[in-house]
Amino acid sequence: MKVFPFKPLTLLLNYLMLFLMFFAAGVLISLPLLVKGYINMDITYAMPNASKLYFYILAILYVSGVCAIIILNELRKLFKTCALDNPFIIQNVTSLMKICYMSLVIAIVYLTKIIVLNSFFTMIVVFVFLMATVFCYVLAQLFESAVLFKTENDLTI
Amino acid sequence: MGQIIINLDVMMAKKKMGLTELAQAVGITNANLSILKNNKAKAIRFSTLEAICHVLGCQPGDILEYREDVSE
Repeated sequence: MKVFPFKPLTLLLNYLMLFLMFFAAGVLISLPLLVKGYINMDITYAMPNASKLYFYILAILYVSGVCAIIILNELRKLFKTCALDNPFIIQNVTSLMKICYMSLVIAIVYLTKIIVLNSFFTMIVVFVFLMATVFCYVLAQLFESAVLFKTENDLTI
Repeated sequence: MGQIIINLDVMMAKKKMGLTELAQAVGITNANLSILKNNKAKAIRFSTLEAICHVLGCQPGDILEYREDVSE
């Protein structure tokens, strides 16, 4: 049975996730230099204590960066199973739950940023990742029921 | 609670019919018939049961058996 008809598209997404993962890893490695350069630039006028907050900014970017890489990796796995015509497996439920936890971590990290270094976009990030957490949790539950139904159906002869 | 046991191998032995032969006659795959024979199936469709009874020339009761759990 063909569950997912857009095989080339899912494979393309899989490679896009892989590319983004490597890009994110590169950014994470060069993060201390990037943040230092950003702070030295004049555009930080909105953050008068930016140089004092160097380590805090570095920490939140590292935590959210690592979480983002994990999310991308799990998404890559999800797209790969979709391309193989078998998305309703228990591994995908685990992947979605991992994405859910990582989104929650990012939301919490940026929630602290609202207190320390507030900006309107930080609030949007927190809102978006909280919504992502809830969506992923609901999707994981949905996938879990789908896996149960599929197992039941497969074992009906 | 008891459980339903499939005694397909007994009937197959009586009719001297192999797994592949029966699977072909019934119109299901070897793998699915094997699941059924080894009591791994969760449910059986009436159409499958009808086909098996037709091919083996028996009644559903000859294939299915209800057994109470020993622990209860």
